[in-house]
Amino acid sequence: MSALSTLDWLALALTAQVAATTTLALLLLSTPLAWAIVRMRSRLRVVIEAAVALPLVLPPTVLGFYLLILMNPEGALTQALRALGFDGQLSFGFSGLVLASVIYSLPFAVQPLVHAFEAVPRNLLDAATTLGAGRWDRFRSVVIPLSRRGFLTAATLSFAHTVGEFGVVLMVGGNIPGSTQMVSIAIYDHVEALEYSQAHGLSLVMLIFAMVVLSAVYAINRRLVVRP
Amino acid sequence: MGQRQLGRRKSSRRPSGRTLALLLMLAFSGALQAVELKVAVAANFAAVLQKLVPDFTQQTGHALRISAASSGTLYAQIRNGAPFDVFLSADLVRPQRLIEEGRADAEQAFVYARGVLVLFAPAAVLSRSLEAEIFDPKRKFLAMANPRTAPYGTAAEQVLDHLHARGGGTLSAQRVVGSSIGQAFQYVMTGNADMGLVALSQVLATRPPVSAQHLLRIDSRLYAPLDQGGVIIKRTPHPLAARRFVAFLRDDAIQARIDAAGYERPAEPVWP
Repeated sequence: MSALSTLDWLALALTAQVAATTTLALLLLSTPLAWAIVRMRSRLRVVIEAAVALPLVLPPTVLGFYLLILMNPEGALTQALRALGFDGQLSFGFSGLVLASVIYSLPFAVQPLVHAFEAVPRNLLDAATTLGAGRWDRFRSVVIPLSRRGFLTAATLSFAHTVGEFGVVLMVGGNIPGSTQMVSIAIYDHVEALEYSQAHGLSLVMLIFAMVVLSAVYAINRRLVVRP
Repeated sequence: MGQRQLGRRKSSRRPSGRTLALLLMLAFSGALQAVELKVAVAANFAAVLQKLVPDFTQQTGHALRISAASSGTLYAQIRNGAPFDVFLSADLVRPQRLIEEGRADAEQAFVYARGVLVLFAPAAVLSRSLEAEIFDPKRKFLAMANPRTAPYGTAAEQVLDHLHARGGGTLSAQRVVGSSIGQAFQYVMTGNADMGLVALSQVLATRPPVSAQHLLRIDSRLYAPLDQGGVIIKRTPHPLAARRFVAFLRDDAIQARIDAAGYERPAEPVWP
């Protein structure tokens, strides 16, 4: 482990931070989005579902290139954020990394939630309505508990996908060591520069970390089985 | 098929001395068959090479198939048996390694171009000295290629070190590093980095053309020459066509066109 430099540890910390923030943002964003998709009766639904799946189609470096265009400091998005008090630049910073990761991992959060919400029995919702539950109450006390495994899957996939992400964060982050260099990029750099022992060390830490987190998640998942 | 093509060309045009000589040469070398050469080319030179394809095909009857990637990737592919006939690298290190490993032909090794590094700032007029422009405290991000993996990145770092050692100031902009010079260029072109140390060839290839006032050519004494070496892969089934291609690239008229695309003529066309 002594092979790891301070910058390597910073890369690990940054990765954990970006992945955690992205997961939280994705759950907040995907829950209403997935619910809206499930409740949608119009033909627009297929279009929205297709749009959500789009990040799966584009190669990461291409998606990264489009995100760079989107994050232009003189562009509409940055200007709009400035009007809201955001001071600075999206690209080459933490906020840009999170925004890029949210877009890139969106299908991994939305799709499990859509499946979970669809599996909620209609009659339970109707029963809740007859008992006088409002929309929010029905969602909170019927849909969320019944979909907890869906939430867990969404969170796990978002987190894991963000940790393992490479092309997009390389483009949007600018590979600044100690600031926007995530673990996957640090490992890539070590390999390219033939620093194999550091690459092995960092890969090992990441694999152990991922194994522990995923095992914990699957252990929780077993206890969350919904028994009718 | 090649014979028929050559015959048709002969009848439809007045044979000049040059084509006659070429035909004779081809006849005596026994290489009358038109072949398709597979050329592995470093990404920074791919667009230039693409433009030279029609000339090559017209002169020799051979076709070119171009595969562009980073030199490191192409090197790894060739080591693992990729069916390329010629490798045009962005440096001399990788072709040299292929020679040492016995995979490339040392006799036919040549320098086909020398890269030129420029400071490029699409939203600014660069009228001051390089130091004044690059150390300007108002500039936020300097894009460059990764010095550990890309030759243009190494050159950019040497420039910064030289300027720093000269006492010209310190860089206040944050460095953003693209894994290739192509990515560094994208940082600048999309406006996310306000300046970049990039290749002249990239800027010249931009459409619509970039005004010269956004460019500052960097004194070539500030960085080690960006010589780009080419080699013929030994396993090629078309050694004669490959030699013909090397001769074509070294031809004066073609070298002049390569210069015009943003390269310099190498001082020493062979190495080591």
